Amino acid sequence: MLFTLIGVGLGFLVALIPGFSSNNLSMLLITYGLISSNYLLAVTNVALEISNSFFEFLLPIIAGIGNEATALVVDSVYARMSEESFRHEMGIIIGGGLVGIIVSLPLLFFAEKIYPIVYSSLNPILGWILLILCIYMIWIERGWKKFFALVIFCLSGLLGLIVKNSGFVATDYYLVPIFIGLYGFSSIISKKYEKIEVINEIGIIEKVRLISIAFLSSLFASLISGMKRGQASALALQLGNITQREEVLFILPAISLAFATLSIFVLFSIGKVRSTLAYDVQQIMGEIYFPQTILFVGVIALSACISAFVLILLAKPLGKLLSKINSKYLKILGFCIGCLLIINFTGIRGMLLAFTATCIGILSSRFHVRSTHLMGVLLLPSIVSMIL
Amino acid sequence: MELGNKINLHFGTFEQITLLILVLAVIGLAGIYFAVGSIEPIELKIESIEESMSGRLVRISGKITNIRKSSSGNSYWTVDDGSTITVPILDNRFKSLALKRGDSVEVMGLVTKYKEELEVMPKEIYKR
Repeated sequence: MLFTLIGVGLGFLVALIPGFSSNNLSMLLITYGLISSNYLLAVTNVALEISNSFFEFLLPIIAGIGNEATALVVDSVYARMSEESFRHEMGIIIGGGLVGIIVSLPLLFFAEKIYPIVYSSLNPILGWILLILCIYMIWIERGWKKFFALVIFCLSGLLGLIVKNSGFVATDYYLVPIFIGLYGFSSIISKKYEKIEVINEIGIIEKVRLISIAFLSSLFASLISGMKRGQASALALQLGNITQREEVLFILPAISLAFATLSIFVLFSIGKVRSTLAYDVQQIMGEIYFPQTILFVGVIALSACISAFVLILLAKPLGKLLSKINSKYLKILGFCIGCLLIINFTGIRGMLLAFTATCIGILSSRFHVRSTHLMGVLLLPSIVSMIL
Repeated sequence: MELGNKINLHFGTFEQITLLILVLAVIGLAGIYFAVGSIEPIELKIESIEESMSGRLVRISGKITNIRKSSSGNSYWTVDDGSTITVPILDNRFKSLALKRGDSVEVMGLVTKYKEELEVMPKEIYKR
């Protein structure tokens, strides 16, 4: 319990430091052996990663700076909210995250039987499935938008293809300038804040639909190498034709948490590492068996509940603060944080990436096509590596 | 026009600005493409590869002394030039190369770290 609390605290702190990922801190904990017991170290890391999956949605909402898993939130929540609507949105994020974990848990009891079969049957054809989905999503745009969507998908996909594994900037951070440009800077430059007073409720049938899509895309991503949370989010938004802000706010945390949970099951059932969380656990524990998996499931559930409680407590004061701040200052803050992150992690070359990504991001809003086509930056390289 | 009057600046029509942004995006992509192409790999001995070189493009030469296959069909070469390093063969392009233990190869790739071990993720492999 104590180490779960420590993990949640660390996850919260990491989420407040832009650019410092939970993975960085996990590696520090592992490398320097700050906690001597392997079990307790693993528990702390699991709690850290899970709580971070909740708290990492704060920065995109406040400053418009997101990573591959949260950037789509930037695009949809680029609005200044009243205190009440901010609290409501926090509620949607918490609900999405918790439901994401709950629907994933039953799979634990079938993981050993189901995963090897699904893995072997899906792996060879997933590239084609992804390709067909992307073509379908471009095809359902209306009229000339089909062409514009194709242009946006190809431009962002080319950017991903050229830069991924090129050595142009540090391999671990090449997505930092790209996502800040595609979703952050382009929103800062081209979008005006809109005042949001009321958030629409999501109906129960819609929630079931969203959670089914979140679960399926997380299941795919947790099984297939080359797919991560970002690809799962893009896949889900494409698959479910999801464009409404409240839907996006619900489904992204659901995917994030379902993906984290399922990646532990994948590690247990077929021994594959598909997430930073599973990577940390494998580094510390090596192979994991059913009893350890049960322990980690407990830690996941507990840390999710604590994180949700902390977010509920934070929602009111944060909402009050945000509703008072001039949106112009938030834009400037977002721009400065973005520039600092890019320079720090990727240097001047990163600025060229961010510039190009910003142009592509602005184009997507000028063409009035869905911002999910920008996820071509992740999907096209994945498709190419799976098919070729 | 007098001092204090408000003026509206027009930089062009919506279409002209959109076209300009499209051109800038394409120029940016082209610039990145050529910049990536101009990155020259550092030729070095395996023993001099260290953690700080993670993400750098290097060229190494040596003999394949071990080939380990995983259940997913990927293979992992151990390349030896006096010191050894792992070269993961995940790309289908390289899987079709008919290379075996004892062959000499030149590998150009990125230094990466996996499970605390340094590896060279190949971009090009040549048989020598």
